[in-house]
Amino acid sequence: MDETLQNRQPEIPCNEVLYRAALNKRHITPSGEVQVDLFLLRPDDEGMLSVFRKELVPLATVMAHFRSTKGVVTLLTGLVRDVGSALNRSIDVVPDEIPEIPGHAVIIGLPDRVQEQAKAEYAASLLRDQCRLITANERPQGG
Amino acid sequence: MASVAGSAEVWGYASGRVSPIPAAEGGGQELNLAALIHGHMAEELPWIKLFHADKSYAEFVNEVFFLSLDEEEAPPSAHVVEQLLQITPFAKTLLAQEWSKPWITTDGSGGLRLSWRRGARELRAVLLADTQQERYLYWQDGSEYGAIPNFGSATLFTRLRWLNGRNITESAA
Repeated sequence: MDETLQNRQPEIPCNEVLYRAALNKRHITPSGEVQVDLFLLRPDDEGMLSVFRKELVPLATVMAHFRSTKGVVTLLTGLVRDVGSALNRSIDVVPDEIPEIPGHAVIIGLPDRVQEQAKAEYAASLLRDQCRLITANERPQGG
Repeated sequence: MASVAGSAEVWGYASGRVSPIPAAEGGGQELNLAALIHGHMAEELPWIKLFHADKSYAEFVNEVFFLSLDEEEAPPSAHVVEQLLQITPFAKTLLAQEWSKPWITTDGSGGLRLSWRRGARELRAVLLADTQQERYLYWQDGSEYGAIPNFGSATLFTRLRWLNGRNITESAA
């Protein structure tokens, strides 16, 4: 992402709901418990965790965007920012438009799981505790 | 996992989901482990002994060997599985019925993550495929947290007892 993107885009309101797609089996247990793995940065993530803004994109579109999803969780933007406060660092959600799908955004400022193992795990715990699993293993009928 | 006691399950490691990498391509660790399993040293390995003696440990090991992976998901590397088999028997033996099976996943890069959660306490043993990186044991109790680098079997045991409600300084006796 362009380093200046955060400054050029309008801020996402704290009360906006975000979708995060769980794409792997390891993200959600068979009993429906969301795992911290869903919120740990991976090398491919380039320091940014991909989310979608409910205001701008229907859930069905998010799910259709991926070949297969194990579920989708919701997060509240303000609570994501609060994770930064708990870790004494800046964690934010910023727009990151991509051509394939509207409403794409990214969570930035999360600790790197290699350099800051404990903080990365703790941040993932907090995000897991705040998220809500809204659907698993099935596609919604509407948006 | 229904069956736990035969060598066929153990063989699954060398010939099954943890796919061997030919030595010519930089692999070969799986072959070494298979040799250990089937050689005269096998009976001396603590995890092999425990595998045959303890059904719940055998189930745990089998789950590691036959992890349900997503398409294109890297299986745990031999280096990582070997670490796991070195570290876990001590804790399992001493904890006996207090042992609870972790949620086992890969980290997407050939590593393994073992996660336990009991109330506000959490424990995650993270074994990394990259030999340049140390394994670590993450612990969390509410808003307190930390990571123990390069943890050993005694530390895993101590922390699993802590997860079960003991104080971290409590003696094992």
